[in-house]
Amino acid sequence: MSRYLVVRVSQGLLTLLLVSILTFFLINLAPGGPSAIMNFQSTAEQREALTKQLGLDKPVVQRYAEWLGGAVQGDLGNSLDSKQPVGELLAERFPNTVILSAATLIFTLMIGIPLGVLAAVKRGSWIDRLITFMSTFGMAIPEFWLGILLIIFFAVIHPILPISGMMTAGSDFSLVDLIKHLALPMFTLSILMLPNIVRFTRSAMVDVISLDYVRTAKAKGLGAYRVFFQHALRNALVPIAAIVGLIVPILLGGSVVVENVFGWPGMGRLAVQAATNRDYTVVMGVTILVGAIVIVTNILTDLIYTVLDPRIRYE
Amino acid sequence: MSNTASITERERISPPSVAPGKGRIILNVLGGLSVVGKASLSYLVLIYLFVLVAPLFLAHSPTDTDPLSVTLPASGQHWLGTDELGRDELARIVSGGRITLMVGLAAMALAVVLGGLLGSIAGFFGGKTEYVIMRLVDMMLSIPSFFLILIEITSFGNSPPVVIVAVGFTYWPQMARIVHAEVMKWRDSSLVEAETTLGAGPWRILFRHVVPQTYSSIIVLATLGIGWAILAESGLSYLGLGIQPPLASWGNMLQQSQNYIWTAPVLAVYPGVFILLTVLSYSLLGEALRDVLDPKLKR
Amino acid sequence: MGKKLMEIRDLKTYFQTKNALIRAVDGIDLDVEEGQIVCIVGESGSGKSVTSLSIMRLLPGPKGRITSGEVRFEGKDLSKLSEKEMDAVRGDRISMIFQEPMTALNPVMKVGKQIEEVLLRHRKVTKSEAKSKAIETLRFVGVPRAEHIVNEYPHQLSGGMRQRVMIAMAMVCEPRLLIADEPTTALDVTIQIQVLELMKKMRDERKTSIILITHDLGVVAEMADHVVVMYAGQVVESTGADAIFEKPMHPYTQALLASIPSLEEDKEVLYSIPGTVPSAGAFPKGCRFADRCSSAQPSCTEEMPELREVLPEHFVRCALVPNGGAA
Repeated sequence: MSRYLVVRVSQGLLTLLLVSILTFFLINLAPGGPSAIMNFQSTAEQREALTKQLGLDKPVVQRYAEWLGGAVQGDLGNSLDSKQPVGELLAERFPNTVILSAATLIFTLMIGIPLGVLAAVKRGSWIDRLITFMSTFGMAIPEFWLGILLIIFFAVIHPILPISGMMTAGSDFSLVDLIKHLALPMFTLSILMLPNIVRFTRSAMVDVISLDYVRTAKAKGLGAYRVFFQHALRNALVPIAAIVGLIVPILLGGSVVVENVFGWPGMGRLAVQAATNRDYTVVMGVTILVGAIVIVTNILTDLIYTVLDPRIRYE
Repeated sequence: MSNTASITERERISPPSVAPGKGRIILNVLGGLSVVGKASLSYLVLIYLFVLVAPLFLAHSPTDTDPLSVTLPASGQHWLGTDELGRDELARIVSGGRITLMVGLAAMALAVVLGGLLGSIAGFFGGKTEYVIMRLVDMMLSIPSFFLILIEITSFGNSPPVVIVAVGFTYWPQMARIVHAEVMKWRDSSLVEAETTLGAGPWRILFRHVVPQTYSSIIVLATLGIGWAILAESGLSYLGLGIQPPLASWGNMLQQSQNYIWTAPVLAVYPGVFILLTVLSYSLLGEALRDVLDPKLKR
Repeated sequence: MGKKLMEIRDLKTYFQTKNALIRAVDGIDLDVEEGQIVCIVGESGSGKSVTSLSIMRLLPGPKGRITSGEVRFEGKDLSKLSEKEMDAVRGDRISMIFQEPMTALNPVMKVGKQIEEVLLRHRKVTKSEAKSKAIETLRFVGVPRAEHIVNEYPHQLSGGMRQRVMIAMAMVCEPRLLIADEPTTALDVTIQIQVLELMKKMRDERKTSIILITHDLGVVAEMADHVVVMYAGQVVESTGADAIFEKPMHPYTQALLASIPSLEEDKEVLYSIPGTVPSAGAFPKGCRFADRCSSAQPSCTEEMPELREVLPEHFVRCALVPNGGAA
C-alpha cells in the first residue's frame, strides 16, 4: 500500500514537471513571447530595463531552470502586474475557490446521486426520460448565462439574494451571510456538473440493479429503499467515485467562469485577470496548482476505492 | 501482378463502407437519425443559413450606434430592440452568431485534423512515435481544458485566429485518443496485411484504408465537440478573453449585457437562448449520430 | 398426509418481449405440506426457476409477470399481495437461496451484517441481539469461528462457506418455507453433500418445508419426499419420491431416469434424450414432449393431454398412460 502510494505520488510529480515544461515553453516561445506583455507605450529604454529585470535576455532553458529551482522551494516568482509573490496571491485566493467548489460538489452529489438512482430504478419510464433529457439540457446551458439569468431573477425581479462577492462589505463574518452569497454561484456551478453525476450514477446503477445480490436483498424482504440505496447504490459508489475524480477538473474550469459572473474572489478570477493582463507568472502558478489538485484528486480517488470496496487492495 | 488483378483484389478486401456511393451513405445515415436528431440537424441548418443570409436583408448594420435610441424594446423598427449603444439587437445577434458559429466550426476542424493525424500516426506506427504522442496527449488531458485555453490566450493574445487555435488545440488530445484507439484495432488486421502484400506503402494504407474506418467515431466526437467549442468560445468572450468588441460574438454580447441587467435585462436573454439551442442541437445530433453509426455504444 | 402449507393453482407466468409472448410457466399446480421436501426437476428452460421466482414475486422487471393463477400460503394469495405485504413475507415466512453463492452475497457488506439485517427488518430486536442470533445461526449451519466470520466479507470465504452463509441468512427468521434454487450446483461434491444434509437438518429440527429446484436426479433421490417433473412450463408428472424412481410413468421422466449413470447396471451407452425443449415463445398445439418422445403417436401432436391422477397421488400428463397406470 505505502509502496503503491510512493509510486503514484512520484508519477504525479513527474506529470506536474511535464505540465510545467509544457506551460513554460508555450508561454515563452510564443511569437512575441512574454515580451509581448510589455506595454507598447513604454519607451525602448523602459522595455530594455524590464527585459533585464525579468531576465528575458537569458536563454529560455536557463530561465526555466531558474523558475523550477524557485518553484521547488515554493517561490513561483512575482506577479508582473501587482509585483506580489505569486505564492501569496494563490494562498489568498485558493481557500475561497475551495469553499465554492467543495460546497458545489457536496450539493451536486446530494441532488445528482438520488436522481441517477431514480432514473435507473425507473428505467425506460417517463421519469427516466425526463431526467435524461434534463441532463442533456443542463450540459448545453452556458453557465455564465445561467448565472446572469439567476442574477436577473433573484436580484432584479425578486431582490432576495446578493449577487456579488463572498460577504456583505463592511460587515463581520457570518455563516448565514456566506451561505447567502454562496447560493447563486453554487447553484450555477452545480448545473454544470449535475448532468455528469446523474448520467454516471444512472449507468452504474443500471449495471448493479440486475445483479444477483440485489435480488438476494429483495428476497430478504428489505423493501425498495434499503434494496436500492443500501445494497445497490453502495456497490455503485465505486464507479461513482471514479467520476468524481474525473469531474474535479470540470469543476475547477467551471469555477473560473462562475467566479467571474458573481465576483467571487477566488483563483478563477485571479486567473482571468492575469490572462487579461498577460501576467504569465500568475497564470503559470495557477496552472501548476490546478494540475497538482487534479493529481491529488486522482490519488485520493484510488484510496477511496479501497474504502468503498473491500476487494480492492493495492500492492 | 497485373494492374487489373490488383484493383479487383482491392475491391474485394476493401471494407463494405466504401462500396456504396458516398452520397448514398450520407442519405442512409441522415435517414436513420431519430426524430430528435433530425430536428436538431434542421435547426442547425437553419441557424447557419440565417446568420449567413440574413445580413443581405437586414435594414440595420450591427455596428451603427445611435445615442438617441439605446435599449429600446422590441418594435417593428427593431425586431429585438436595441442594445446599450443603440445598435440593432437582431443585427448584432446575426453578426455575433456568424463569429461564434464559425469559430466553433474552425476550432473543431483544427482539432479533427491535428487529433486525427497524430492519433492515427500513433495508433498505426506504434513504438516510440506512439509513446511520445500519447504521453503528450495524457499530459494535456491532465490540465483542465479551461486552464489550457487560458495559458494559450496568455501566450498569444486574443485575436479571433488565436481563439480558434486555442479552442481547437485544447480539444485535439481527446480526438487523438479516440482515433488512436480505433486505428490500433486495425493495425494488425488482415486488411492491412493484404494491402501490404499488394505493395501499398504504409502511409497509403493508413490514409486510404485505415483512417476511413474511424470516420464514424470522428464524426460523432466532432459533432459533440463543436457544441463544446461554441461553449468554450462564448465563455472566453464572456470573460473578455475571446472575441473583442466592437466585433460581436454571442459570448461578449452577454458580457456587455450584464452591465445593463437593471435597465435592459432582456438583452441578456437573446444571445444565451441562441447559444443554448445551438449547443443542445449539437449534443442531441451527436448522440443521434452515435446511435446510427455505432449502435454498440447505445446505452 | 400432512397439513398443506402452500397450494399453487394454475399459475401462469408470461414474459412479454418485443416479438413474442414467452409462456415460461404455463399453468402449474403444486402443493407443499408442512415439513415436506418437494423437488422440482427439469432441464434448463423448463420453467422451474421462474416458478420459484414467481412464488417470491422476484420476476425481473416489467416484462415478466404472473398472468393468472394463485399461490395460496398461510391463508393468503401471494400473487395478490401488495409489494409491501409481500416484503413482510419475504425473508420471514418464506426465504430463498440461490445457485451462485459467489454473486448472491453483497460483496461490500460484512456477512454478519447481511444476516443481521434480515432480523432487524422482520423482528423487534436490538443490534446486539441480532448479532448474537447471527452468530448462533452461523454455528447451526456449521460455520466454524462464527464470531470471526461475521466480520468478514464474502470474498474472504470459500464457496461452501458462502453457501452456508446464504442458508444462515435464509433461516435466521425460521421461515415456514425455504425455496432453494439449485443450491449445490456451483459447489464441490463433498460440500454439496454437507449443504444437503444441512437442509435436511433444517427440516428435521425446525419443521421447515423446502422446495428444492434441481436438475440433478441424484439430489432428488437423496432429498425428496415428493417430486414434480416439469417440462416446457408444465408439470408432466407429480408423485411421491419412491414412485418416481420405481414406477415412472411419463415418457419424459422415464427418459430422464434412463439418462443418469447407475452404479449397478454397467450400461455401455448412456441414454440421452434426442432434440431440445421447444421454445417457450412457440409451443406446439399438442403434447409439448411429442417430437422428442420415443413412443409418440400421431394423436399426441393433435391435442394437449391433461394432468390426470392415474393412481392415487400420482399425476401424469400423457395421453398414452391409461388410468391405473400400466403403461
